[in-house]
Amino acid sequence: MSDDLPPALREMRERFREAARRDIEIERRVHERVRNTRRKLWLTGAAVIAVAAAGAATASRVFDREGPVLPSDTLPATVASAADPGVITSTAVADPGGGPPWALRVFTNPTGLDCIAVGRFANGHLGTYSQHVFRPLPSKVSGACGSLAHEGLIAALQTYNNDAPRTVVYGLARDGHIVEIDVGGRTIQVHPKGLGGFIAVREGNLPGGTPVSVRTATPDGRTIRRTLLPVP
Amino acid sequence: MVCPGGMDAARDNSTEDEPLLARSVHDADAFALFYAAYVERVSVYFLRRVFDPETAVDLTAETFARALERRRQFRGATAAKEQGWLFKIAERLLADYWRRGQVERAALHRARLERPPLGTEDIDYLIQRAGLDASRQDLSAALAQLEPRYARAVQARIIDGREYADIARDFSASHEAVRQHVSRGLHMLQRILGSGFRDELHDE
Repeated sequence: MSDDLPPALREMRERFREAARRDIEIERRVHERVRNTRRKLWLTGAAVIAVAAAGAATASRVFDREGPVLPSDTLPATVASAADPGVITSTAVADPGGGPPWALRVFTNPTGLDCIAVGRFANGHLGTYSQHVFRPLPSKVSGACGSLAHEGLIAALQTYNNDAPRTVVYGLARDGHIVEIDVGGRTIQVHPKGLGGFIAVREGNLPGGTPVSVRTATPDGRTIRRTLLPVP
Repeated sequence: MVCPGGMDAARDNSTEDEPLLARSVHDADAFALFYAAYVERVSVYFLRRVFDPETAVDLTAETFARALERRRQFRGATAAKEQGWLFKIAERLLADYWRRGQVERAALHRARLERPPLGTEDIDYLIQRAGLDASRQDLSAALAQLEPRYARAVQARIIDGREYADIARDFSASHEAVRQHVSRGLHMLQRILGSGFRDELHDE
């Protein structure tokens, strides 16, 4: 019986009880943020669609740095919303070569982990873009998953080898602090947007086996790091 | 698997049939009950394999920290599943300890937890529950079957209770090398002692 436990094991029980309380509170806050952000999506979706349609392609070409963040979410509720409610439109960044911007979709997998997928965003949907043709992704798409509440940083790397090769680093930073990405000998700084989502797009592909480092800070000053490798 | 009295008593406090681990997703007290139900079994499991209370409690603390971190992934509906799930974590940590000679503390760190220091009462309790005094006799006999370098390391640390730094000086070896010799020696002993040394608390 637990009351028979010696002092150190009893003390450890109380520390775990407190840690569980902290964990439950963090999870509650994350879910609250998800709900609030989804509400805002009704206001924000059309902003990205409008900018994409008007030609994010006109944005200046960027190389080795993140694309410019699109206008923020200030459109009235009367305009059309994003058709895919999982897409965080405020994360959208232009592609160096133009075309639809890149955006994140956030969802929860059956085991309760937070997952992210990245793609081009057009007509309210996340998709692929090649040869000037946009193709929507299926509603159930795989993604990089983790426990944001525990890990503080979920990051992933995706490379594209089509007519416009790209290296895309994306993720979620729980605490919303600046994310620094070391990629191809350069350091890119990105400011997380809704839900802590961030995307950095680099023109071209990294040589095989070149690691990408992603790091951010916690409120108590610790650094969380992830090292990513491109899939050959 | 055998359910010890501690777990039954802890479950008397439960008002629902749902496993404590599943309840703990939304209830911090349920995690404390889960800990109370299994901490003795887990620490005894480790102690009977590493013979060192400090190391055993470090491994126990990391086991529960991982359980806390991953409890949302638990899909079982019974206490037996819950126990099996917890001991899978314990087994992996032990295998990692055998290989590296160090106790992993990453989950404890992520949860911002430190385990409390052990006092005499804690150590006596653990040694008594694990039946370690009797096991030490088996251990001494089995040492003769180890390579001398591993036998010396285990003898110095586990039987004689010397500090790692002291042994490292004596062996003219690094602290890490001594730790690895001790953990590998213990792993070999575990194999030598075999099934007769397995404990009914965990091993079926």
